[in-house]
Amino acid sequence: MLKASLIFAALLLIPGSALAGGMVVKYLRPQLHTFDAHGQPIGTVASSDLKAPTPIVAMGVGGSIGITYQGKTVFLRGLDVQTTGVNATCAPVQGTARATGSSYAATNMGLGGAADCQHPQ
Amino acid sequence: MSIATRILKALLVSLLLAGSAYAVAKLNLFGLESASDRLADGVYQRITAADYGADRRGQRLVSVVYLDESSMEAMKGYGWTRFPPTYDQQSQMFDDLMQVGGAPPAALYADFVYTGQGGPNEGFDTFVNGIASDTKAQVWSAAPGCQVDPLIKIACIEAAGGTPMIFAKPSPAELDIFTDVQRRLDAVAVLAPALVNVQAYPMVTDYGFDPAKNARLAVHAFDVSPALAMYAAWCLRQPDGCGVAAFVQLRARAAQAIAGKVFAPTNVAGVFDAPLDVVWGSRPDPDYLAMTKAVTGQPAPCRAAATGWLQRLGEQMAGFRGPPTGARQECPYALTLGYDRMVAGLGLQSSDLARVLAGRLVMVGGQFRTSNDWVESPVQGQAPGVHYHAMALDNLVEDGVNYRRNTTLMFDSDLLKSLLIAALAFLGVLGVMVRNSLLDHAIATRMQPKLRGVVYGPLYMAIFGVSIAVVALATWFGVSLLHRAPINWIGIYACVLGFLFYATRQTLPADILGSIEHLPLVQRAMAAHRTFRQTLKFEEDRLFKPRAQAAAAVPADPPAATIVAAEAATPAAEEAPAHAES
Repeated sequence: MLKASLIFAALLLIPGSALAGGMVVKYLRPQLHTFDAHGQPIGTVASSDLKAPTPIVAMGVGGSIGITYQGKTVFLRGLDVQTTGVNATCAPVQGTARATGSSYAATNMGLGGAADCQHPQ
Repeated sequence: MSIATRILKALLVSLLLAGSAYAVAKLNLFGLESASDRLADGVYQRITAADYGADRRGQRLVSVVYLDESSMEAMKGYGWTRFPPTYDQQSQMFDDLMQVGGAPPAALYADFVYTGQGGPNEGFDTFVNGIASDTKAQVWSAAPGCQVDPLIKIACIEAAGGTPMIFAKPSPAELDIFTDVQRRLDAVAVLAPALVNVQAYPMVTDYGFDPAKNARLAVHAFDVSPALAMYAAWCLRQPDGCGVAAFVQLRARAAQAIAGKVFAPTNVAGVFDAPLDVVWGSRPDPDYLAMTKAVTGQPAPCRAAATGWLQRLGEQMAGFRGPPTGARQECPYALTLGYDRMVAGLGLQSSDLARVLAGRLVMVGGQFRTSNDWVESPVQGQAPGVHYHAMALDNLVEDGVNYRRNTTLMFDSDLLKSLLIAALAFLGVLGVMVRNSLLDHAIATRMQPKLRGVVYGPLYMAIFGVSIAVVALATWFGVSLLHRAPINWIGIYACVLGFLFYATRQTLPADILGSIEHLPLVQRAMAAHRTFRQTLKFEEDRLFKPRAQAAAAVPADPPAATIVAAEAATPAAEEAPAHAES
């Protein structure tokens, strides 16, 4: 009975966490660069000092991942962490700019910029 | 006239035409020759782009990581608040590219030119130390044998267990300056000349400097292009050295060079003996499409599936096709990922990063809209310069030493084209003579005009068909078997077909119409055509009405009505070919 209630509680909690922006489930580097909400470097933090899994509490400029660390929100590079429940809401918000009127004009030689991929706050 | 005289006449006419074509090509009037050369190459590439790289051998190896304006904006979230980013930040970027794939790339080329150290807090020392660590410079940089030429340096880096890192530098032929920053980079990495405004992608460049100038500009015997440097780095890891004996020899020599032995410069000029005519492919990498979908949530806004040459041939009528937007936009050929996307990681899995980086030949470059580092791709249109290097490298991986060579820099291709024109014109003149003989036979046997088409049809088809087929075959033969850039098939077609139409300007319409003029519809059409021509005929018109005396003195100017009546009475007289010789 206890186990069943725990599973039920987990089922309720996990979607709630996902709506809040997903979870960081793993830190991929021993030392992680941290930034503030404006992208200013704060320093580095050892991954052993961070909890995992931990909820993503905010998304910063350029898709940086905000987690709570020592009572404050710090932002990590997505490259340095493994997340879940984040990319599902990623969607393009602008068309690709192209030069019209010129044959074979390719102005889109890549995946586009971060503006193509806006994460709901 | 004997048959030999007629053949000689045909030969003279064809040589006259070919000589004129050769003169026009050599004079390059208004740049028409060079422009049509590029056009012929470009159209050929567009038609055959979907056939390039069917096995995706190069595509699996070559990746492009880019920075652009959007990247810089996104990277503000990670402290990148200026452009160019600080050396510290760039060091972080290169460190990421080395680490996050799970294994380092096979080699890395940075299409950035570093000339200055920046401010005191830029982190240049960190930058150089990071590169030195990646290339294991402490093992090989002090060995003179590893500095003999850029290829042995790459071999030394690999022998030391490092990852070859190639950085762009200005061409010593164009800029007589080598800065301290470049010298420090040269000590820990390989520098290759960035290519600006080149028509063909060079392989090996021997500047011919004296030893003092070589030393001053840090030219190690010769320079190799970025694509060749990357290709060499990859081949040195292959058991057979990609079939290039010099690469196998380099691998054997590298350990000895690190130990202190100095060898003569590597000789690869015989293998990579000509510039590369970069072939652009159009099949997007399936991984690129998948990653784009994962990152943006939508399919890549470009042409996903490859199409055959026949469809692409039809697409050359750009007026009907319209500008290629949306699904008609060509995707980049190489797997391409923005560094900011990599850093943000949204939608990407670790396996994606491994696909882009681990063991791959990674080209890093900018694609800033406001920079001038863009090249004209015949397939994709304006493409960032780093894609030019990536495509050249892809060509080398796909074709090895049989890469497509740029013929215009190798021998007198104008002479070859003129000889082809002469041969086809000769056949055309003979064909016209044969047609006249057939006409004699038709008249002698009183063959009905409507039956003549049966005789002439195949002849005309043979004359024009052979010309079209021979040029197409010569183009294909040169590209596929001789590994040369396509000949100027558009110019040759224009010349040969123009001459053939001129040679048959009277016989062709008469013969064709002669076989169908009994049809009522054709008769009506011919009558309408005659009326149309007479209406527009102006050659004998006077703007001012002549005086009476002068008019009387000009008997060759009959009233227009008379001309119309006369021509209407003998419609075939003007068009009838001379069909019998006296």
